[in-house]
Amino acid sequence: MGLARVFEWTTIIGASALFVALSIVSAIILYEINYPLAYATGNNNNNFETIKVIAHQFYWEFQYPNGTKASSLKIKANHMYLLEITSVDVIHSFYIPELGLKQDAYPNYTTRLWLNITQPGIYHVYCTEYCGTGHHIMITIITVVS
Amino acid sequence: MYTYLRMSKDKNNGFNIKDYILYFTTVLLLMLIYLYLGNFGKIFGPVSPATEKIAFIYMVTYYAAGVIFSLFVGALIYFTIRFWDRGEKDGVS
Repeated sequence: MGLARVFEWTTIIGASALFVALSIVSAIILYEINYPLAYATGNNNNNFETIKVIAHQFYWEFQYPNGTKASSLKIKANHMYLLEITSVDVIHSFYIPELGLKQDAYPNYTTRLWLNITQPGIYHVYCTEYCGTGHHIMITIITVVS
Repeated sequence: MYTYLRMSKDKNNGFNIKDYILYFTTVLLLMLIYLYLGNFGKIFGPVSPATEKIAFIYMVTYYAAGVIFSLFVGALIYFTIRFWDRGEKDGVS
């Protein structure tokens, strides 16, 4: 077998193994992102707050567990939150660019996004699904306090 | 056709150790350019456990794509230059 043939088979087998390994690792990590409490034990299992996020044309509404409503989100650092995202009109998308997190908001359907920010500061929220003429002004902030 | 005949006459299809060294040098250069243009796979400073995982997946995918890209494009560039049919000195190709 010539060197070229060895190189060819090494590339084929190597690329296949790389893709399989990449798929398995990605699947495990994506599962951890979607179900961060799956590996939590004891008291940590229920240590989170649920906040409802309702998308409107053209603003975001946040409903805290105590019933308070706000147009921007204020949360604590190093605390787990479950955002239940929905829409009252058309499809929107809840996007936090600093975190790389994005979740769509559909009418009559609730999607979930786990949020745990470790560094206090101000983070931006954009709508990344074109929702009408005011799509570009559908911006708000998340204030994270320590 | 000329290239094919020239290749078939040579031992090991005319590809010697010097060619392998030059090919892998081309691949390495392409990989370095690819990584430099993509900020070495760093997209943001992770400020959340989920973001750290996303950044890790992005980096792994970016590097894996870079290896495949540089091997493929490196072969394309190097083979194009190495087996370029430049014709005979008398003008017959």
